[in-house]
Amino acid sequence: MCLAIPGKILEIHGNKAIVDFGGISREVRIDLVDADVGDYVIVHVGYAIQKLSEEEAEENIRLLREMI
Amino acid sequence: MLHEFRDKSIAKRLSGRIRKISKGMGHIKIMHVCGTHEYTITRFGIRSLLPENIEVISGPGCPVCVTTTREIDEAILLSKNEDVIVTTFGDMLRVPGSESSLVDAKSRGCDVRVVYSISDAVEIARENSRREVIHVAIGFETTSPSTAVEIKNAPENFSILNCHRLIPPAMEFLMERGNVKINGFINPGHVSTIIGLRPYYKISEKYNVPQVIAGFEPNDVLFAILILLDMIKKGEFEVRNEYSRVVREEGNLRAIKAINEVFKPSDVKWRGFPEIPGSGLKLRNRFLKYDAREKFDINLRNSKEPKGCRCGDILKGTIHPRECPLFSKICIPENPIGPCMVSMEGACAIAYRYGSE
Ligand code: SF4
Repeated sequence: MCLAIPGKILEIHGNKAIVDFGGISREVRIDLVDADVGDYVIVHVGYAIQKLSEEEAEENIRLLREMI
Repeated sequence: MLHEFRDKSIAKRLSGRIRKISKGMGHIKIMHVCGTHEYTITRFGIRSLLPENIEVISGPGCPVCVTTTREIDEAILLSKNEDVIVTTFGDMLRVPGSESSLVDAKSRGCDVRVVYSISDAVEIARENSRREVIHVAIGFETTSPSTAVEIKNAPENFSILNCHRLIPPAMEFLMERGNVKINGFINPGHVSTIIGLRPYYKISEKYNVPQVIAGFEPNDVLFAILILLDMIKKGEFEVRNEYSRVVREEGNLRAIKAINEVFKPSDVKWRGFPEIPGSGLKLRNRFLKYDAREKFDINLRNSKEPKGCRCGDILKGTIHPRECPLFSKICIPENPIGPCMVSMEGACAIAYRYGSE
């Protein structure tokens, strides 16, 4: 239920987008995010709830490596 | 890029650091409040990577599990009306109510349909304008924004059986009135995606408890545990964000706005808990016509909890699924006695499928 998975936006049509989840694509509502084609979004029950930031992911990994 | 969060050698090093830092710390209890975290923890054997004095327990983080028997009974009762189509997420179908479940209602001919998204339920309402469509709206802050968006444009024959709940008030309740001494929280990544960091600050300040928002890969969880232990050791009680690749300080402002436009906080009961102040979401007056409890007469006698089921204690973090006498003996995923054995995010179902601990 809380499960939310990342996917890549392939197309945008109004408040809907076609999102690719590792080979399977599905229609997703994008009312809650400001997203463009090519962005990675986190999708929960058919709605994109946030964009995934690649810079932050790198920073994440840098902090992780620093701690260990 | 994200493979680093699954990398075994990094996991090993994190586990080594955790062992080192936790020496001499006494018994530490860390609670997570998200079903997906329980999945990661059990599936990847995280507990076996921790020293004996570091215990990770699961709290009330599975939305299906915290839904009350009364709410299930309400959904079943509504589905008996011939003009009604009840829509719900798949996990809810097999949760036992007082006498039966929604899947039983369906097999008796009631029109109960599983949807992937509330948008599908609204679509069904548009296609069936002569019938009433009632969506069983469960879920935490991750799910309620989608409900809010749909309610703003829903057709007249659509309504929700509102079972939405909020996580921070439940965490506060556990600190204030729970029976378990919690030394730190792993905060739910996707709830936090919506609400950001702010709602957690007052919990840390009031109860001197550190919190780390974590992602859902195994190394996210191990890293969060390490950060928590480091804070506990230093006597710091902050809210840190391990999942910054997705969670922003302010959360998702559009989603927060949608929730606030449509709902206001209310006091609701959770399975295993009494009424928790401010932990529910009530539809605002101008949207009450979409509230199935206002629209339909729901006359229920008292609901009966499943006999012998300890889901309430599991959700409060006082026992582990294996301590329930029915676990894997009578209660199995094919014959669930309580919701924690039904939901894919229920602690009992996860322990049954993946747990060796
Ligand atoms: S094992 Fe079954 S009966 Fe026991 S607490 Fe879990 S769901 Fe309830």
